[in-house]
Amino acid sequence: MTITDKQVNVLRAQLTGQHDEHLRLVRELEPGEANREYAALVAGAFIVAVERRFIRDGKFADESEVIDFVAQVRAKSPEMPDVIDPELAESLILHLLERGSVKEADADRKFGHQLVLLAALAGEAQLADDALEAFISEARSIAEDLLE
Amino acid sequence: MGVEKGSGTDTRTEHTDAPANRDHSPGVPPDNPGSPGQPSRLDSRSRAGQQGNGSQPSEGTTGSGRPEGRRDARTGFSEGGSTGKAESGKAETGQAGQQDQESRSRDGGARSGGTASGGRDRPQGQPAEPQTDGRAEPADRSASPARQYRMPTDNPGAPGQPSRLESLARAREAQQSRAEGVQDTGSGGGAAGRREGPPGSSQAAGRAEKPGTPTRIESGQGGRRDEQPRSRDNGAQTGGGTSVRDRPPGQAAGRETDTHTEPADRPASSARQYKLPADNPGSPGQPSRLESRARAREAQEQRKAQDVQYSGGQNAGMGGTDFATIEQDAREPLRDKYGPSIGVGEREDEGGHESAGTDTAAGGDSGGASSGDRDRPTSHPSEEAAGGGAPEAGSSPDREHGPLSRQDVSEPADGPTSPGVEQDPRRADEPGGIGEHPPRPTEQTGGPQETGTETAPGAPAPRRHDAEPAGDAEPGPQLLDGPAADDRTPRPESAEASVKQPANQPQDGPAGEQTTAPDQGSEQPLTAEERPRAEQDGTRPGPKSGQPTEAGGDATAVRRQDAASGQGSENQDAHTSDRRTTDSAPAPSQGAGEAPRTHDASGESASDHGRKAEDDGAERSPNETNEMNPEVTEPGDESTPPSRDSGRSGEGEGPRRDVAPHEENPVETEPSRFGGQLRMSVDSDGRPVLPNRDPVESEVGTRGRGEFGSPESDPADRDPRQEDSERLSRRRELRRGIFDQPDNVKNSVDTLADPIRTSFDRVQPTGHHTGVHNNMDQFKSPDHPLQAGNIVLTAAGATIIILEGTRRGAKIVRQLMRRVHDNYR
Repeated sequence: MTITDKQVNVLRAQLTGQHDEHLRLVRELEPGEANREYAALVAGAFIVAVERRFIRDGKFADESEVIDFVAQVRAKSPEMPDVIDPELAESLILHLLERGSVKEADADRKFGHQLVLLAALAGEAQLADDALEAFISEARSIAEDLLE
Repeated sequence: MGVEKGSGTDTRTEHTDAPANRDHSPGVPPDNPGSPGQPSRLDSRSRAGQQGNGSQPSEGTTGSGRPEGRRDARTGFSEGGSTGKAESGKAETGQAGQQDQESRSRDGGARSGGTASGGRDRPQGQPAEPQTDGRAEPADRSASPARQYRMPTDNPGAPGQPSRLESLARAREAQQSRAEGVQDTGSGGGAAGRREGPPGSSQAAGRAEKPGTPTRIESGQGGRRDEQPRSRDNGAQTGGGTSVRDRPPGQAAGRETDTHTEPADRPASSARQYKLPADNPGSPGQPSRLESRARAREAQEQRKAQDVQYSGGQNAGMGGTDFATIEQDAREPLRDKYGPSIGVGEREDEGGHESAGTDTAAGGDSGGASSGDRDRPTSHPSEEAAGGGAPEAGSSPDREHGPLSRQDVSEPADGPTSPGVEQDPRRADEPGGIGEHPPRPTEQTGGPQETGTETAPGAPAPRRHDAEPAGDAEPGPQLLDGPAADDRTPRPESAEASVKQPANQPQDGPAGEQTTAPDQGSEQPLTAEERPRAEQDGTRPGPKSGQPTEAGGDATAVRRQDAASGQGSENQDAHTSDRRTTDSAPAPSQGAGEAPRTHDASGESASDHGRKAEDDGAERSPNETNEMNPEVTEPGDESTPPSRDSGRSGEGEGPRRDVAPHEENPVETEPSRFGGQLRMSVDSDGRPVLPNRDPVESEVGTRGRGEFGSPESDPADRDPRQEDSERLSRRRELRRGIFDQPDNVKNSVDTLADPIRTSFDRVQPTGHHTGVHNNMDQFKSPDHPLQAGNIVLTAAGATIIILEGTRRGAKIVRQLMRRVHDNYR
């Protein structure tokens, strides 16, 4: 399974804050394509964003930092705490930091949390075009790896 | 003057002064006529001394002058008349001296003396003379029992004044002749007369001198006397012949020494007897012979030159007396320098002479006059006496050696010229082993220069003796055959050094050397080392031989015999052997036949070493021996003490042998020892390699950076990608853990569109730290402006306080006023 540019564009729209475009592109995706490739591409983009944020010089950030980050996301809007489960959100991040496993949750729930956290990480990173492209390429590679 | 001289002291003093006279001797030639008289005196003395033991009367003719003179001097004071007569007759010549004596005898001895010197000595001597004479006599007597016997015999004979008269007459005659000789020789004659005088026959001598018309000469000698007074004093004290001079420091001791010397002189006198006959005609020539011998032997060229100096005075009219004086003179300086050692040596020699000299009792009397001669001959006779037959037998080789050395020097013919002298050297050589004899002959010949040079203090004599013993060591050649050669090689150095030394020393005092040489030689083994040197030098061998003879003399009896067996060519060998024996033991160790010699030299130690040496065999090298047994070899090398022991040389040889075997053995053993080790550690390069050694870089190899360690484990070869792959794989597993394929993505996106926007929006930065409180109302600055209400309040309060205060104050004042009013009331 390869990640298509269309799928990448949907991700790019999301990462660049083009929410409408993002919604539109997602809707344009095939349900299977959206559920598989696009879902893998969003997971890949989430992994890259977490590693760049919590892994510095090969060292993993403390768990507190992860927790704080999750808290901030949840604090951004009154609706967020209901949307984001801190434990699931933290487990997703800490699992990537090799500190535990991911909390058991529904795939769509996990995907929803990854999608919200990715929007928060992308919002902090404020990736430029070059960095965005590198980020997307790396996310694409990981997505493809996840889909294998 | 003659009278003064007549005193034994005078003669002695003259002897002492004699050297100076010799120096002044240019006038000596006139002594030549006196020279014959001198020998006569000496001869008479020596004869009297030698023969006198048995037959004094015969000697009385010649020697009587002395004893008589003594008698006269001694008794003469009391008898003064007789002596005075004779003296009066002599007064012409002796003048003041005789008169002084007479006056002394007349006055009883409290005269100031015509001549200051004579008067001085006499007045002292007169009152003291009887005493001194008595002292001297007893001293002489004690010293030489023969003298004592003589004196008493003479005394009884003295009552036979005629004997005195006869003796006087004889003495006069002889003295006249002497005086003539004295006049001729000047100092030499004076010295002879003086010598004669000192024994106590000074009066006789003075008489002889007086009648000897040349009294003026004597008076001229009186000047000498003036010079002599010193010696006179000494002589008066000591009364002995030569010994007196030596004695001067201690009179009593001097007497004792004199006695010792005298007996020793007696034997010497015996030697003289032999010599004298030949010497008589040659007497003037004897000294020449002796001188020539000494010169040729000792001096060689340099020594000859030195000898010439001496010969000037000696040749002039020096008889044996001159030598004696010379010897005495030399002894004096030597004694001064080495006084103790020399004195001891002399004493010993004298003692030895005494023992031997006792045989020649007459010598004691004559000895007074010819003390120097006595010393010389004494050594010979003493040796003879001491050596007995054995030394003689052995003496032949020694003699040969001694003469050989001498001959080697320059005078082979000298030996034949004066048989007596030859006999003496033989004697010396023979005993030479013994040591005393050789030194003296050597001394006479040319020993003085060399010896004086070498061991002026004490060594010279022993050296001569040593050299002679070297001759004795003729057996030495046997020793030489063996390891001796090695020893020889090292020794020559010492010999060279010794040679150099003598060259330097010769001037010091040939005569003194002669005198000292015999004494020291007899006494000292000191120069055992020097012996070989002397032997090498040839001239020295005399003195050196004398030394070895002394040391070895005791033990060298065997040597002598051995030497007697083979002399001739062996002489050189003997010299070498002596060197060997003295210096280092190896030579003795070599030959079994040599063993006796070695035993003589090394003695006890030689026996031990000899065992080893025997084991080792003659092949051993001296060097090895030295190395192996440094201790043994050292003593052997230095050997002076061992040589003294006389058997030490042999001993030294013994240890040498021992040493050699030791060396050989260790060499053999050592290779075996190291053999195992070599196997252990030898590398291809021949370097010893340690068994457990860490690998070297060359062996292990470097990683290319000069670092230690196997290249396999080189960190540079590590591929970081491999770790990444692992990490990637691990990361993959982790990544896959978060990915679950959702069922309805589109629905989730639609439902979360708002939270996605909200989360995506970044929080706007406030510029404040999240921990800082933005509400500053809680804190106010303390310097806010003053408010009006507060001012009113404060003013009101202040007014209240002031009013209250004033009210209370007024109240207090009122109370005080009331009290005041009440008080007034």
